[in-house]
Formats: sequence, structure tokens, C-alpha cells
Amino acid sequence: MEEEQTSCLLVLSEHRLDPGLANSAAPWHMVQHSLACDHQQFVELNQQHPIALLLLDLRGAELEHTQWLFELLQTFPGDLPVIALSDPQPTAELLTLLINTSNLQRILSEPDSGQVLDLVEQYWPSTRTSDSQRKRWLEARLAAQVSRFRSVFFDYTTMEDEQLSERFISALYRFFEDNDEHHLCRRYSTDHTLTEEGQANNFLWFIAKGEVVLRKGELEVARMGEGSIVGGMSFVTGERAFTTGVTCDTTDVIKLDRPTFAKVLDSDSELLPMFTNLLLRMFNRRLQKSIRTEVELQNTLSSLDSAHSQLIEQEKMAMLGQLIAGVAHELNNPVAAITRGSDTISQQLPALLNGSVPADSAELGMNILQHALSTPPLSTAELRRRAKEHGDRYPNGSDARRFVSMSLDNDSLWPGGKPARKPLKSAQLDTLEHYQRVGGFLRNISVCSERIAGLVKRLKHYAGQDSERPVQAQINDGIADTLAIMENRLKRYEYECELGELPELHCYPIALQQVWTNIIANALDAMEGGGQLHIESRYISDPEPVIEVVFADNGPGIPQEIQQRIFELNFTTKREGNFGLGIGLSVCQQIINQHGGTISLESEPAQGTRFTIHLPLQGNPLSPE
Amino acid sequence: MEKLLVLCVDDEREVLDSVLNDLAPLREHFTVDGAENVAEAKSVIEDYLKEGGQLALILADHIMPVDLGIDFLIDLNQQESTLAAKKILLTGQAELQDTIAAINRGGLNYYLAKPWSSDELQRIVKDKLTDYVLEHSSNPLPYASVLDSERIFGAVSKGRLDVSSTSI
Repeated sequence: MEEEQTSCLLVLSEHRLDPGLANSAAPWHMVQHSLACDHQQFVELNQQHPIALLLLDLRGAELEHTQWLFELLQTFPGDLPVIALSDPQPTAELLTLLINTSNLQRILSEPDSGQVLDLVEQYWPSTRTSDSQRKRWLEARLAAQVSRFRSVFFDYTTMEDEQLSERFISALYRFFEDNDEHHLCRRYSTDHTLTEEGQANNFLWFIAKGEVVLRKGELEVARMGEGSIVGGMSFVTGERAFTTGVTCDTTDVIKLDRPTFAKVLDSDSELLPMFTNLLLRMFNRRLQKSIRTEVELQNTLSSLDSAHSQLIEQEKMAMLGQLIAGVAHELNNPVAAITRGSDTISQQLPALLNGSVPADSAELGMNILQHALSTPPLSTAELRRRAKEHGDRYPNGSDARRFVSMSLDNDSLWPGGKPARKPLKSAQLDTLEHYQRVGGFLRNISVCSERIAGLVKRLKHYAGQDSERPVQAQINDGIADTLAIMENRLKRYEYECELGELPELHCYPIALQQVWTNIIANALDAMEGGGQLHIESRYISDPEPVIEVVFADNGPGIPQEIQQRIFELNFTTKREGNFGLGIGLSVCQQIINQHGGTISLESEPAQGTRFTIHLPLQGNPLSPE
Repeated sequence: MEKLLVLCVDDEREVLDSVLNDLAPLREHFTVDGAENVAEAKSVIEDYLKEGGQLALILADHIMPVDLGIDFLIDLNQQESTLAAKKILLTGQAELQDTIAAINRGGLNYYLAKPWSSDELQRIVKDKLTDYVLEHSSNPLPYASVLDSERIFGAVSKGRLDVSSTSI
């Protein structure tokens, strides 16, 4: 099928016209010809490209030269629409001729170059354009409009916020230039309220110059500078104003109510997309800002969290540092005893091994050694009492004491169970005492080594780290460890421990030891100079299975008014240099809470304080991190 | 010859036995006894005084259940009957402040740190006991065999000279 010819715009002109008319993208095919055309040429042209519109440029033309054309137009099948361009003062003759002989659509005298193209576009397609071309033209026009609309909308992406708002605001100013009878472009002085938080708002303010501060309550939320929109959200949604907006400087605004705003948007099709874009940007900036604030808050929170757990760790270390000093002293005693013991043994051994001891003394001596090695020594008080009993046989007090401290008053030690009938001489006691010393000090060394080993083991455990997951552990062990570590401090106090039989608890045992240490240390501090500490643990099965641990002291008690505050982080009654950092009880409470448990206290002035801790057996402790 | 008591107080039996063992050479001339706490020590001293003896030297640990060593020494210092006794603190853990207080109140003649060496302990105790017998014994000479013989002989001979010079 032969392709349909594009309709033709015939330009008969002696002048150079708008090059846009010859644009290949135009929906028409333009052909320009001088007025010195003739009938024959015209018909041929029409055959090649059906002429749909005639642009007749009669500027400076001699009428007689165009006679042929008017004759032709009169007979041209299907009135050909004509746009005529004329001199500024066209003659009546020409006008009559044009009107009477052609399908004149428009006559333009003294045209600008742009006006001609606009005019052609306005009359295209003409009645002589084919339906299919007309349809194509409409589609193309629509597509062009849509793309123009789109391009206007999306074009903004290349613009800065400031540029966009400036453009919009200048468009508004343009609109109100001669049209501001309501005085909507106005200037406010400082402290003028635009919107009021919680109140209805019917206006949209564009800040052309100056600054407006938005407050929520007392809190400053944002500062809106040049180009910003205030009242946007309440204006768009009809909700009450979210913030109070007050000018903080001399501020130029454009104040729009809804009808005016609609009028403004109607005035220019570019304004709606621009405004939409502007509003979107504004809300987006606000959203970004609040997200940033939220993120900052989260960061602050998590850094607070980590600072807090560092503080807990520091408290533990401070406590540990002080405990270590006590433990070092505690180790000192057995170390001293071992050192002295091994010295003594090395001094005593030669006397036993050089063969100078008579056989009967040696046998008794070995019994004494064995006995001293395997039996705890009598208390000093008991020794004195027994020595007194033997005072008649051993008038020398020192010999009597030596006699009983070797347990020679115990017949079973003597060979054959028969003690000597006569009191032993001092020299004999000297010899036997070598055996007693070796046995006794060997025993001392072994007892002290065990103590050191035990202490070191507990210390190792105590100073260790909890694993990340809770473990099954025996609470009583933790309490015993704590007491062992604190032995040095506890020495000066009477304490009794009633540790009941407990099931194992799913817990962080070392964290809990920190709790026991803190509470005991507090109790000891409270009972400065002596007192009684009672520690109790028991299993309670009803109504819910819990382990209860109680620490009761008979110190001065905690005054009623501060009982509520003692678990606060920064609350301390202690001065610097006291145990730990003084944040102990808040740490205790946290650790107990982690275990799903409770810590409570009862306290009576001058009666003492009683801390009760409940740890649920079916609890699932949270990670301390 | 006077009955002189050397008393050691330590709540840890192993330590106490070590100290007593180190002081065993003194038994010839002194009653060397041990107590496991302050209360017991007090009753031993009381009994000994009743029998006509004197407390010549007390060697006490500091950190003990119920009563602190330093407080005990200060306490002894405030009683006529035990004022003269030489007082030694044998400890690993007396607070500096407490120790200073004890010295200032005249309750302390010597501070011996744990762990101690036998030689050091014996030397200090001998030295302090020598002070004691020279100050309070009517006849220090017999103690010369177990204490600082040089100082005792020196003092005795000086005393004789003094006596003879006054008698002239």
C-alpha cells in the first residue's frame, strides 16, 4: 500500500520566515514558494503533498501578481484554510479579496517570527488534514504534552532545593505582582507566630526571606530558612499544626489560604508539579532529619549502654583490686608458715638422721611424728589445761607443755601402749621434740599448701569471666568462693553461714559472685568495727521454685528515706577510697534482674539490714552484654 | 629469778606454731606460750600475773577475729601491769594508719612483717627482751645466755661500777 503523503503546509512568501516552520519534526511538510507561482505549479504541488494549510505572506506583494491565486482558491476543492500575513496597514481591497475568495482563518499584520509558528500550530491540523494524520498529530501532541509535563516534573532532580524554591517563590511573586489586593506577600517582624502547635492551620507560608523557628513544646525542632514552607503538613492534611512556628527575624512571607493557592496553581501548569516536588522535598528533608536524629539517638543509646557495661566492669575491677590486696595478705600467712616449716624441718632432720637417737626413743619418736603429722594440734587453751594436769610430774611448766603437746599423755603413742613410769627428763623431751616438730611442720606445710591451692583456685574462678551463655552452677559454691576471697575482711566479724541444699541454677555465676561480694562488703562497711553477718541460702519450691539468698547484718541499718535510692546508679553514702566505685548496689540489681530475680531489703535503724535475693529456677538469664 | 612470760597471739595455728618454734630457745628462761585469739591471750596474761609473773613480751598478729592486734597492744599499754611489756606486731596487713596510731600511743615497740625469717624474729625478740630485763630485772645476768649477752654484761659491769662509785 502506498504510504500516505504527509499533508503540506504551503508557504507562499518572499520573506525568510521562522525556521521552526520547516522543522522536520513538525507534523506538516512545509513547502515554500514565491508568490510568483502559477496555477499549474500549485496543482502539481497539491498532487505531491496534499495542501492542508496555506500561509500566505502578502507583505509587500502586488495584488495583480496574486490574482491567479485568489481565482484558484475560489475553486479549490474543499475550502483550503488560509493564514495571511500582511503589512501593518493592509488595504481594504486586499482584506475584501482575502475574505471573499479564501477560507481565511486569521490575518496577522506585522507578525513576530515566533507568532507565525504559534499561529500555524494553532490551526494545525486543518480541516483538510486526513483523519489518520489528525489522529497521529493528536497522539504526538499528547505524548509531547506528557513528556513536557514529565520533564518539568523530573527536571527538578537536577535542581538544588534552594533553586527550586527560589523558582517557585519567584513564580508566586510574579503571580501577585499586580494582583496582591489582599496583601498576601507580607513582611513580619521578629516573634510573629505563624502556626501554633495543636491549633488548626489554614495557611501555607512560603518563607521568601528570613527565618522561622519551629518548636514542639519548649524544644526547638527545626529552623526554616529562605525558600522553606511552613504549615505544609497541616495545610495539606487539615490536621492541627504539629509545631509552633515563630519568626526569629524580620521575615518576608507569602501567606496563602486554600482558594488563593488553588488560583495560583491554576494560573500556571508548571506550578503544581513544582509545588508537589517542593513539598515532597520538604517532607523528605524533615523525614531524613528525623531519621538521622533517630540514628544518632540509637548511637547515643548504644554508646551509653557500652559505657554502662564498662562501668560495671570497672566496678568489678575496682572491687577485685581491693579484694586482691586482702587475698595477698591472706596468702601471706600460709606462705610464712610453709617457709618457717621447711626451715625448721631442715634444722631438725640431722638430729634424727645422724643415728644418735636410742632405739626405744626412736620408736616413740616415730609415733609422735606420725601423730603430729596426722592429727590437728590441740588448741593452745587445751594444751595449757592438760599441762596443768601434769604439773605434779613435770614441775617445769615448759616440760609439762612439751609433754602434752607431743600427746605423750596419750598412752597409745607409747610402744606397747605403756608409758614410762618415770617422768621424762628434759633432754629426752628435747630428742622427742625433734620428731614432733618434723611431723607437726610437715602437717603445717601440707595444710597451708592446700589452703593456698584452694584460695588460688577460688581466686582464679572469682576473677574469671562469665561465658557468654549462662551455665548450670551451684549458688552455694559461688557464695563459698566469695567468702573465701573475702576471708581477710571477714576475720574481724562473726559470721555464720547456713547454706541449704540447692539445685543447680541456670545463671552467670561470676556475675552473681559480684552481687554477693557487694552485699557482704556493704554489710561489713556498715558494721564498722565488728558485728554479726548471717548468710543463708535455701530452696523454695512454692509457689514458684526459687533460690533464696539472705544476707543479714546487725549494723546501724539503712534510714527509711534512702532505702528507695540505694539501688540508683550514682547513689552512694561512701566516701572515696571505699570499697569499689560505690555503684555496687545498682550493679547488683541489674545482675539480679538479668537473672529474672528480685533483690529487696528490710532495714530497721540500729537493728541491721537484711537483703533478700530471689532467683527463679526457671529463669532464662539475659546476656550481660 | 622472775617469772617472765613471752606470749604469741595469732589466730592461725600454723603461723602460731612456727613463731613458737622460732622462740623455743627462749624456753630455758622464759615461759613461751601461745594464744589463738585476744580473749585467750588476756586470760593467759591474767593467770600468769596472778601467779606472780610478768608479761615481758607480747608478739601479736594484727588481723584476728573480733579484736585487732593493734587494739590489743594499745589496751595492754593502758594497764599498769602490762605497760612495761615489749610489744611486737607480727603481721602482713596492718593498715599504715593503725600502725602509726599504735606507735604514737606507745603500744608498739616493733613491727615485723610476714613472712619473717627465723633469724630476724629471734634477733628482734632477743633485743626487746634484753631491753626488758635490763629495765625491769633485778638480776639480768642469767638471761645473758639466751639474750644479747654483750649488752647485758656491759650493763651489769657498768651497774657495778656505778654501784661501787656511789658506795665510795
